[in-house]
Amino acid sequence: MGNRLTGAGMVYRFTLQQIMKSKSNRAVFGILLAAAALTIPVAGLFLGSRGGGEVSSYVDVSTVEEYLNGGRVGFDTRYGIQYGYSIVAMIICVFSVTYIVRTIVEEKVSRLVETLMVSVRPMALVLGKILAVMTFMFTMLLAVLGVFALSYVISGRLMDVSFVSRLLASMGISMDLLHLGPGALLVTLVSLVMAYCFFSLLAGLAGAGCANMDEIESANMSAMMTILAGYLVSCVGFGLSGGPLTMVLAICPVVSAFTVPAFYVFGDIGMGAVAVSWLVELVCVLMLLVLSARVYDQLILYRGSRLKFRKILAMGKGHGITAESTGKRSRKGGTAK
Amino acid sequence: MSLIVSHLHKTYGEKTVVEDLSFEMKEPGVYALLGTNGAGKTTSIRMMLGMLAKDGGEVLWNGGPLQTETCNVGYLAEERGLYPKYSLMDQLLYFARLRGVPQAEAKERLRYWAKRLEAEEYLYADAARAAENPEEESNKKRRKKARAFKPKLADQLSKGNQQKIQFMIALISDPELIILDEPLSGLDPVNTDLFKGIIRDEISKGKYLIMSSHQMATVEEFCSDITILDRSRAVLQGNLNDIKKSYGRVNLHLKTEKDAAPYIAACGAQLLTEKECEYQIRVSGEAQANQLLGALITAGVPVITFDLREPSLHEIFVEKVGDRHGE
Repeated sequence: MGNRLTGAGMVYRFTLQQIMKSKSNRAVFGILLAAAALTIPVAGLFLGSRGGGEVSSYVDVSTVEEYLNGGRVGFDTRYGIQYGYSIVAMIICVFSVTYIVRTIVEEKVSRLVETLMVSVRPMALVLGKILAVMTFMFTMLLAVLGVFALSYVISGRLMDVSFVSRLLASMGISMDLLHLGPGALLVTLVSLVMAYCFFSLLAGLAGAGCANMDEIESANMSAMMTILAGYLVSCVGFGLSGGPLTMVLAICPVVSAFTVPAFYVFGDIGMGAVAVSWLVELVCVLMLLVLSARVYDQLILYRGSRLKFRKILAMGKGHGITAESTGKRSRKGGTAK
Repeated sequence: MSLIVSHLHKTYGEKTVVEDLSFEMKEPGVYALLGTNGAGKTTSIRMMLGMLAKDGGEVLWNGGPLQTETCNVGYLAEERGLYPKYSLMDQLLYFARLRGVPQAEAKERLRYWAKRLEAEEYLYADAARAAENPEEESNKKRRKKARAFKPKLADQLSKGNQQKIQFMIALISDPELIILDEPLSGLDPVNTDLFKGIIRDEISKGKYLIMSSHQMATVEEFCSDITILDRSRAVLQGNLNDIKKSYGRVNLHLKTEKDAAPYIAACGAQLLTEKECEYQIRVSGEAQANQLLGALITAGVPVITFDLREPSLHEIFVEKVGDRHGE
């Protein structure tokens, strides 16, 4: 494995350098930072001196049982938080996956791969890219969160920002009821990283199975459909969760990234269940890594019609690219030159 | 140092694409891998470089397995490209770093190769300025232009100029083993000579070169040993001069001042082409050629050119591969 990863560091540095040099990437980064910095002060100008009732934008409807239970987060609040978090997670995964598929296919189509492979193994090539995109995405996420927090603190010294806590309270979000804090941040970040690794490796395989730019869309689609499936199941399942279903949603690999942080924040699962969920996700990531290591060398030089995931799996089981497994193009003479 | 390729074998399903390929380079020089399209040349090169898994055989460099981590290899692939939207300098430095060349050293080497390959104007602001005839410009204007210099992107270059950049990538690490897959394809005559000059220099530096090409004249110009592949199999191998000698001197180029066709027919030689008393003739050997020359002199036909040669590599290739395709 070590040999397969030679050069990954240089691929990582080069990819990150090019991501940062891209004007559109820098523009997106800048806009997000500006939005994070300005949200609190701008909102403060309009809402800072008003009463809590006026900023209320949320009505929590609860059953008698829920009302009597008290001290528990209402259904709508739970759903709102889960919905908000999973949208952020989905956006991160979709953007990353799209970028990874595009760079891999571009590299294949530009016929650079063969020159690169003299110095760097295919696995290192894809891992370098995945890590570079991850660095960019998570730096952006943390920077936005950091700037938002900083903006809140600074704005708090210059103006009345009590509307934030009033707004959260009116939405039913209370620090007493939610497990917010460094633990929640850690759970969220690790879950996001795990999900990112899983979907990125999937995207890497989908991209490597393409032979021309026209196939990017279908490769993207297959990776994005997996993300969307996880997202939708988490949204629907979250509303119905409770008891064993909560554990299923927390452990199921594609879904867990969208549910675990919210479950943890609401106190539905503890650190033990979170660890089990991470372990399952880690096993899946490692399995994808092993599959990638097995098939990537063959895929990267492959020039036939787009390989479906079923065929990639067959290759991982030891069936190489053959006339039978590569379809029409190979029946005419394979990929050899 | 030596390169030994021993019993290389590759199949895709039931289709064999390289069958039992062996050759050896005991000393520096140029080895040619020739063959028709799909004969297995590129697959063989990919196996040698470890890009494709071998189904059999081994490749040894200095007695140990050839690994690109331990052997400094320069490779110009047949399927070559560049990142279309990244700056050329970034790409060149990236490839240099991947081949283990330190940044400062890489910059120096790039300057040298850019000058050598006449590609400076695509990489450096000062050269780009010079290319625009700056003599009439003031210093202020020059400085302004230098600041405004935007590094070229690959998709702004012609195919030939992109090939120069790819050639720089292949040579940036000062490799000991250079593999060139169709190095001159698509180049104009001026750039062909530029590339040939560099290849000659690399040979004189004692490098090991493996060249795959369809341009037989180029192969004849540079290569000492060859393998001709056809349908995955080596059909002819060995030292080019020895191979040619084994065919004997059978190609006669004859130019006379009068019609010599009747004398050619009379001595039983095969007339291949004829144009204004200039003939390409296939003779059975030196005896038949001498017989023809004697007949021409006796008949008083003035002979301007009488050039008896071994067959060209092109003819040998067509004979070897064409025969099998005709089967």
